[in-house]
Amino acid sequence: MSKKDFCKSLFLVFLFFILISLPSEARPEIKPDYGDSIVVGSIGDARTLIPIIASDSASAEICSLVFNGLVKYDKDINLVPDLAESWQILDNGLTILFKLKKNVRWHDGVKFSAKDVEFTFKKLIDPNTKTPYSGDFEKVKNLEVIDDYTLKVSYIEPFAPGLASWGMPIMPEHLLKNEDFNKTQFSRKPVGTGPYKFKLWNTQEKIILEANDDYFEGRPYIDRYIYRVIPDQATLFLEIQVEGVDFTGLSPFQDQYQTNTKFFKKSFNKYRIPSFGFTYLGFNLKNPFFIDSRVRKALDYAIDKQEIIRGVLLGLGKECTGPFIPDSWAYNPKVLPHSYNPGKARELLKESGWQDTNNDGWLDKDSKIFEFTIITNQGNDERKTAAEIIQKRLKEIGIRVKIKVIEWSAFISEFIDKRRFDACLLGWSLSRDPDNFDIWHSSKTREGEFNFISYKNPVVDALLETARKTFNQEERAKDYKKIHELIYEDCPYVFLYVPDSLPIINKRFLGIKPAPLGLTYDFIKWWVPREMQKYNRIRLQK
Amino acid sequence: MIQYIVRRLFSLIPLFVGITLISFFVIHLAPGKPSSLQTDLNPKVSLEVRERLAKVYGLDKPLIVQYKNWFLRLVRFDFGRSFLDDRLVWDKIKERIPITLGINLLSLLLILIVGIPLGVNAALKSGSFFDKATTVFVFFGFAMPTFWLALLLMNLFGINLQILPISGIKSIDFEFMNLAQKIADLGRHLILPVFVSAVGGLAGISRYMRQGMLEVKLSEFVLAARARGLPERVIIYNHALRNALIPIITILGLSLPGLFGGSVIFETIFAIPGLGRLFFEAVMSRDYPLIMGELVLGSILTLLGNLIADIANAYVDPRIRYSR
Repeated sequence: MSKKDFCKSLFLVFLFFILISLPSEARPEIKPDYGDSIVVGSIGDARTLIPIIASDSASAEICSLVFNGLVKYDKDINLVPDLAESWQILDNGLTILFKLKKNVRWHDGVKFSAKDVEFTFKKLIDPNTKTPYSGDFEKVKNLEVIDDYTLKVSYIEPFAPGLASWGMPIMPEHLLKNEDFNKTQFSRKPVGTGPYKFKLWNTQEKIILEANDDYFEGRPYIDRYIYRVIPDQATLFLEIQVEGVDFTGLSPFQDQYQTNTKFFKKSFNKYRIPSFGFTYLGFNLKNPFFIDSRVRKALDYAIDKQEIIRGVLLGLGKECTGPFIPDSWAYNPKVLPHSYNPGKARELLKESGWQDTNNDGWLDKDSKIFEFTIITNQGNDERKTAAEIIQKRLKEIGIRVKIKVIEWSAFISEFIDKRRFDACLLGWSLSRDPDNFDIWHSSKTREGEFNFISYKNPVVDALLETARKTFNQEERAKDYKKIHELIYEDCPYVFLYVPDSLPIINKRFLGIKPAPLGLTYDFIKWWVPREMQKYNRIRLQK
Repeated sequence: MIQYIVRRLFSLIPLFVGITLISFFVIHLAPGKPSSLQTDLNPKVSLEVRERLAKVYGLDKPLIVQYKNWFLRLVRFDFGRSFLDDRLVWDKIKERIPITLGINLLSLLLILIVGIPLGVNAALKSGSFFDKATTVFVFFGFAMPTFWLALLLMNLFGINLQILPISGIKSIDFEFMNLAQKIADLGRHLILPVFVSAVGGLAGISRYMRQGMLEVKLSEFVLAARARGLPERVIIYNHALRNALIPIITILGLSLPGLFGGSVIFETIFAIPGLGRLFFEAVMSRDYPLIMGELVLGSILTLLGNLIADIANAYVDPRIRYSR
C-alpha cells in the first residue's frame, strides 16, 4: 500500500465516522412525516381563550398555540421577532419601532396588520377589560400606526421590560371590534394567527386544535393537539399507563419510583427541566423577631436546603441563592449559598442576644422564648413537608416553630395581605424578564401588593429603578447581579429551591430538543413516523 | 288535593327567600376573596389591576346592596356571570346537568333493581345466612371509600385486563364516530362510574326495604291474607311489598336534589365534568354568582323533593291524606 493510498483510505475511514456520527436529524434522507395527534393530559381546564384575560396556565398554554405576539423568546431565552419582522429601540429606549411581517393571515383568511396590534393595546389599557396584564402597558405614552406594517410605541420613561411585554398575544380587530369582551363568544372560539386553529372545546373534558396549513413558519407536522382534562393525579397516571395520554408532567415520586418499569422505558421519554420559579421562606420584617438581620441569617444557616431538596423533591431541584432563576442572565453565580452550619447559627443568635438562659431547651431573650409560626397554603404538600423539615432543624438550635396550613383564598386575603404572619412559605412563578420591581421595591408594600414582607433597602430600590430603564442587557445584568448579592446579604427570605418540572412524553414523538426555555418552544417541529402514528381515525385530509 | 298542593307551593316561597338570604351572607362571610385557584403568585398581576377587577364585579358595594342586586336579577331568572370566565352561570350549570343527571339516574335505577329484591329477600329469610351475608356485603359497600374502590377497579379493568377505559365519558375521537360507535363508546365509559356510585347507595335502600318488610310481614293484614289462603307470592308482592314501599318513596323524593348533586371525589377520579366539581371549584375560588346559582338550584330541588314525597305519600297512603 502506497503512502498515498494509505492517506486516501484513512481519509475515507475518517469521512465514514463523521457521517455516522451526524445526529439523526441532520441526515438528509429522514424527512418528517405529517399526521397523528398528541394528547396532552392536564389536571386543570382552560378558563377563557381571550389571551389578554387568561391568567391560568392551562389557558395560556392553549393561547400560545393559537396566537402570536410581536416578539417571542428563542430556545436560549433571547427575544426574537414573531409577528414583528424586526424592531428598533430609539431615543434611549423612549421609543420602540416595530416592522411587522407582511404574509401573515388570521385563521379566517383576513390579513394581519398593525391595526390589530393597536386594537389589542387599546383593549389592554381599557379599564373595562378584566386583564391582569395592564401593568406593563401603563408606561406606554402612545401607540402610533404609521402604516399597515409599521408601528411606533412611545414610553413615558425608558422601560426595559416593555419590549418583552409585546410578547402579549395579538387579537384580531375585525372579529372583536364590536364585541363586549366580557360576553363575547370569542372566549370559547378563538381565531388567531398561530400554528394551530381552534376546533372544539368540551368544558372540563377536552380542547381540540388543528394544524394551520397557512402558518407563516410552515405547517406543524402533528395534525391535532388534544388537551385532555383529568383532574385527579392518580387517574392521570393510570391514563399514561394505557397510553391514553401522550404528554404530561410527573411528580418527583412518580418520576423516581413509579416510572422505571419496562413499559415506561419502552414507551416514554422522561425529561428534567428547571421550572421558572422558586420556593422560599419569607420573614415578616415588621416582626420584632426578624428585625435583626443576624437572626435571619442564623435561620438561613440552620436550615439545610439540600436536605429539603432531597426530602421534598427527591433531589429533583436546585438550590437557589437569590431572587432570580439559576439559568437566567440576571443570576449572579458568584453568590455562594451558605452551607448548613448550626454552630454558626447559634453563634449569630448569641450575638443578637438569644440564649438558653434557663436550660429548658428553647432560646430566650428578656425572658421571652423564640417562638414563631410558619404559614403556608393548603393543597401543596411540598410546601408543607418543607415547613416540617425546617421545624425540625430549628428545634435543634432551640427555636420553637408552629406550622399553620390555610386554604389559599383566605391565606392570601386574610393573612398575607393583612401582614398577619411571622414567616410564610411560598413560591414565586417568574416571567422570563428578570424585572422584579414589584416584589422588592419598598414602594410596593401596600395591602395587596407583593412586597408583603416589607423589605426596604435604598440601594436595592435605586438599582431596581435603573435596571428597568436600561435596555442594554449586559448593563442591566450588572444591576441585577448587584441586587442579587445585596438581597442575599440582607436575607429577607431564606431561598429554598428551584423545583424541576418533570415532563414525560410518548416515544413516538421525535424532534424534541430540550433547551433552557423548556421543551415545547418548537412544538411545530415535533413529528411521528408514519408507521407509528396512532390516531388514524381522525387524520386530517390534506 | 289540588288545594293542598297549591297551599304547600306558596308556603315554599318565604322558605326559599330565607335560604338564599342566609346562604348569601354565609358565603360572603367566609374568609377570602374571589381569586384564581393558582397557588403561585404572579408579580405581573398588580394591586391596581385587582382593585379594578373588584370594581368591575361590583364587590366594592355593601353586602346588603350586593344581595339586593343579586335577588332582583334572580327574580328575572338572571343568575349573573361567573367571575372566573365571565360565562353565564346558567350556561355553566346547564351544560353539566345531562351527565350528572344521567349517571345518577342510572345508578339510582341500579340501586332499586338490586336493592329492593335484596332487602325483601333478606327480610323474608331474616336471620338466615343470606340475610347476614347481604348485611355484610351492603355495609362493606357503604363503608368503602369511593376513591379507593374506583382506583382499584380502574387498575383491574383498565390496566390489568385492558377491557374498559379508565376515565372520562367519551373517547378522544368520539366526535368522529358514527352513532352506533358513539353509543357503545358511552356505554363502555359509563360502566365503572355507575357501578361505583351505586355500590355506596345500596346499603340505604336495601336496609330500609328489609326493615319495612320485616314490620309488614308480621302485621295483621298479612295474617288475614294468609288466612284467606292466598298464594305466598301474591301475599308478598301484592300486599306486603306495597305497604313496605312507603318509606322508600319518601327516600326517593328526598333524593331529588341528590340527582343533580354529584360528588366531587367521584367526578374528579373519573374525570367526569359534573355539577359536583363545578360547585367545589366555585367555592374554592369564591366565585359568588356561581355558588349562589348552584345553591338556588339545590334549594329549589330540595323543597320540590320534599313536596313531591309528601304528595306521593298522601297518594299511596290514605291515612296521611285524611288525617290533615
